[in-house]
Amino acid sequence: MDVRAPKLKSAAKKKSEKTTGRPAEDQSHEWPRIGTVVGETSTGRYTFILKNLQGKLGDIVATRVEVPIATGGKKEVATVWGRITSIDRFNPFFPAEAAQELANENIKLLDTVLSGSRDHLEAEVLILGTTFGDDPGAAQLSPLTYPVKPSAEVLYPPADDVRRLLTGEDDKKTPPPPKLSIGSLIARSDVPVSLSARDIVSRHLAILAMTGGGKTVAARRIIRELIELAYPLVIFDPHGDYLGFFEKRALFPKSRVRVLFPSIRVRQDNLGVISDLIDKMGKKLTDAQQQFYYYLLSNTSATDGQKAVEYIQRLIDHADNIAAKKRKKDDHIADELADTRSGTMNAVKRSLEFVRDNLRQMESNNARLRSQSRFKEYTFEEMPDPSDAPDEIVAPGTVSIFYLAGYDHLNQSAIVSIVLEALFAHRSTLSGVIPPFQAVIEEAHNFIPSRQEGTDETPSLPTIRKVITEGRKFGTGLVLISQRPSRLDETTLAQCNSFLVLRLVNPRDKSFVRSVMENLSESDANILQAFGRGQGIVSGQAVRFPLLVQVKFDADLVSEAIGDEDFITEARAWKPDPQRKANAEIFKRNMNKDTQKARSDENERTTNDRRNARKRPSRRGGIKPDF
Amino acid sequence: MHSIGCLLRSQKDSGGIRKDVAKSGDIRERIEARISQGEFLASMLFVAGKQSEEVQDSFVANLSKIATSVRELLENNNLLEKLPYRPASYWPSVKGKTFAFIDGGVANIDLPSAAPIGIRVGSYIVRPGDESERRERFNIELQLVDDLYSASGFLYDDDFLDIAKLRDAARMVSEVAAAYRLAALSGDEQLDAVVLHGPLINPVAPYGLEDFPAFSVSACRKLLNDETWNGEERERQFVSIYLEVLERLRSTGTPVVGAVERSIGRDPVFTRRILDRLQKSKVLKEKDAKKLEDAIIAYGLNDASLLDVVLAEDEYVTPIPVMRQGPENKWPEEWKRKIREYPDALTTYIKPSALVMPFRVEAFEGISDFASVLELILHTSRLLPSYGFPVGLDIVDKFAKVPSWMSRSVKGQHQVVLLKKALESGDPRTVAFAKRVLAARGRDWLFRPSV
Ligand SMILES: Nc1ncnc2c1ncn2[C@@H]1O[C@H](COP(=O)(O)OP(=O)(O)OP(=O)(O)O)[C@@H](O)[C@H]1O
Ligand SMILES: [Mg+2]
Repeated sequence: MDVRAPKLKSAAKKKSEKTTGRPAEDQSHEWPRIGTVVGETSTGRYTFILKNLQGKLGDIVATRVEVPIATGGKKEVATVWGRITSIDRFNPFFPAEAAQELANENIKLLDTVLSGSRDHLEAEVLILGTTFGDDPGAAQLSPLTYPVKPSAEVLYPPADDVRRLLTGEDDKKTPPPPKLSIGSLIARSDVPVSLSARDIVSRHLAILAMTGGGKTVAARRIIRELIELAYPLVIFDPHGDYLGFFEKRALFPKSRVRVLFPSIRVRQDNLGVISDLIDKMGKKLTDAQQQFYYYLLSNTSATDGQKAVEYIQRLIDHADNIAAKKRKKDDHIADELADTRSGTMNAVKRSLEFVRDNLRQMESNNARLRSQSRFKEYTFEEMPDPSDAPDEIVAPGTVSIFYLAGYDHLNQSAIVSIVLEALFAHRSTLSGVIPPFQAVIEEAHNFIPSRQEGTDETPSLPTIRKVITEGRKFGTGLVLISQRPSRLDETTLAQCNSFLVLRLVNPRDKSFVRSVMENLSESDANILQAFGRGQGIVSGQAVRFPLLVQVKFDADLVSEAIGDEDFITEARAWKPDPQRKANAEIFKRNMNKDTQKARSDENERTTNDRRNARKRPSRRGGIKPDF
Repeated sequence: MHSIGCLLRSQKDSGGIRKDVAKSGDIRERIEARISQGEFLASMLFVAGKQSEEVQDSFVANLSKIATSVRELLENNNLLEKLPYRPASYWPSVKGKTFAFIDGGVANIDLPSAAPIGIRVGSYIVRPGDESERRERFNIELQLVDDLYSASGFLYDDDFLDIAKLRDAARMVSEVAAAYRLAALSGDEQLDAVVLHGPLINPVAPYGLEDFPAFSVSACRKLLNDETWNGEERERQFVSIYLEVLERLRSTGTPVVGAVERSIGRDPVFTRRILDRLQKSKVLKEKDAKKLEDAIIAYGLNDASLLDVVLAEDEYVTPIPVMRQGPENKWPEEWKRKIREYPDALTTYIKPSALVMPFRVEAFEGISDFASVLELILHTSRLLPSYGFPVGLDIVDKFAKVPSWMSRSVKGQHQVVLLKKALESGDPRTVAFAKRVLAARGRDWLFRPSV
């Protein structure tokens, strides 16, 4: 039916000859026509009627428009690039009342004169920018300055042109600027999508998605690309999601991948963090107790590099010491402690013991996890001192993965704070000890929680804020990953200049993301919940314009040791410890009822006592190791 | 007004009282229903302005007398037909038949100029029950814009000041021309019925004015679908060429009807024709016919509003030929002979459902099996129950319509402003020049989204 097409072409050709004064050689005339612009248009978006099955959501399309150029009434033909952000389908030739009648009379549409074949597809396009001349990648993509013309044809540029558009001038430069390839356009698997490495490492990236959306897979992809660039990496890994890099280190022969376990050590420069940590982990202290605690802190010297547990032990010993003197009414007691009652001292001591036990518990949690049989091929190293030996953490071609499992959020946060603070200090004082690096922070909501979360005392928050704000100057880029964007500190997140947002369903998260990402259109926000695994929208400085991307899944990076737990199988295969069972049998058999009862009463009392002692209500509640 | 009462009474006296009472009850109900929908407001006001108070008071009663009289006249003289609505058996019975629906679209550009006339005639051809790709076909049969501006020849030979008339004339002739193209199809493509949106035969006298430009030869060839046709200027005048196309259309033998969606005007042409016929065949006294006609006119009723209450669901008036050319004394002298040659329109009003107004359907005299075309009209109208007009025409209307955005975008363009200026200058050469400019530069405005 499209008998007019040839004429249209020649008309357009004539026009461009007239206006630009050069032959219309544009390759766009060979691009397939997929529709016609209709309705009201603007410089930001337009709508077009799409031919059946000729385009789909997320497709990059083009149209042409004459735009005025500065010099006296002249105009030039611009290629306007856009992305299809929604498609409505309706059949204007099928009236609703006819549907009613068909239903009432039980007749088939096909048997009547009604039309069922003429669906109208109305596609909405978000304008991305314009180029002039032939090469979509030739010039800077500039904003459209004059609206698209209703009735203009909409074209479907081939993969090559779209690819050139996405990469801009980059391909022309020698050497081309480094790229992090993350996947392809959702709508067109033949068009690869990559991020500008420079923008990621200096301007930060946030990867946001609901759980299972594919954040970790995407982060691994980006990390892998950074490894290929031999860029130094520091990964804070609360669940072991990134240990696969160690397992598969043979894939990266030029790099050194290390798995580190935390050890919290005291230094003069982090004493503040440590004392804060102790304070927060312990029981809430009264003013008098607080005073005594400060006395202990300032009168117990710490050796640099000493383990926090040992330092706490020294505080405890010190407290013990003073308490003993107090009991003996020893005169050698400091004046300021004259009024401190021994009850106060004991309370502080118990709090410190509690903290010490917790820390030991978490250390051993972590150690137990590391010694699982599935990690038997792994070589975990104790983390180097980030202040003294930062170059053992950050070095060219080195990936340092901090395995934080077993520690609670507070301690994980303290560790991140201590490490990042020290590394950043080296960068910002230009000590010349470590190169620029990229830090990856999983479960970022635990490290940079929003104020509403009531945890604005999280030690890592001020550190990360500082790093993210000044990272641009000092080459300390961040990748923040979170499944609850709305729980993130907004000011910190807003410092990210690039976003990869995968499937997101929670309305609060969606609206939060919209508020942080300036250029996310409403229709884009609306499709977030429809994304499949690994599908998302990438926007910000790292790309020329927002793109719908299908993240590449690196199957070869999937760790055999970590993998997805199969609890069903585990439960089915579960065998109770025979020895434990046998022991229990002994008691059942040998103890008579009365003794048994007496025993158990006593038992109950003692356990209760112990529980009371241990489970002091701390400000953070009990410790729950985070596996 | 008591004359109506007399008429009514005299009819009642002649028997069938029980049936008549029932019928007049129905009519009364229909009238009241319509009044509650605001339908007769215009008539009531019309009456109020002209008649005595007492007449106004009994508006409903009198309207009901008029309508009952008309209904009984139709019944007594076998002029009332009823079609059954039975979709479940009807649709399978037309399986494999081919029906075409035709409508013309006009680019609605509000300009005092000849330039932006855009007419295109769309068709929707459908074969109920066909499951293949061939079931539906949409096509633009004719497009008269290209001719208007292309170098190969203008639609009209010359300018004419009344642009609305030029546009109407072009639309009317191109619609029947499209119908002709389709009706002439044969063999596998042979159509079982062609339904036009609008009258089949229009009054032509208003277009027979002196100075009304002739169509160009190429336009005529296109209209007649005949590349060898060569006609004198007089044969290319609207009055001639329209008749030529109509005659060719009629001679195809394919059933072609026009369905007229809206009745405009107050003149009850069709009802008068019925009364005339009855009178001519000596079954109705001139005196009675006159009384009834006077009453109808006094109440401001046109055919549609009168028959709306006269006809019940699924009924139509037995088709009668209606001369469509108006009073001969208004015909231009030089076209009188030609206009006399125009065929009458075999006309009926059909009321497809209780909810909707009846509408007019026209065919050529001698159409084969008008009744089955009317059955198609009824069944296709029922698919739009509350609109009550053949859905095929609704479909093709949407298809052929020149979208308003398209017209608007033309208006916005400065070429048009230029043209306006040229027209204001009144200098024909400037106008012609401006048209040429517009033709050269603004052509893509008519490109509709090809979906
Ligand atoms: N790009 C992808 N292509 C194919 N499958 C993917 C992709 N991304 C994720 N998946 C699938 O989805 C699963 C979950 O992905 P991933 O672990 O990255 O989600 P997540 O967002 O990190 O979830 P969580 O919040 O629970 O950590 C993967 O195991 C994989 O099977
Ligand atoms: Mg994850």
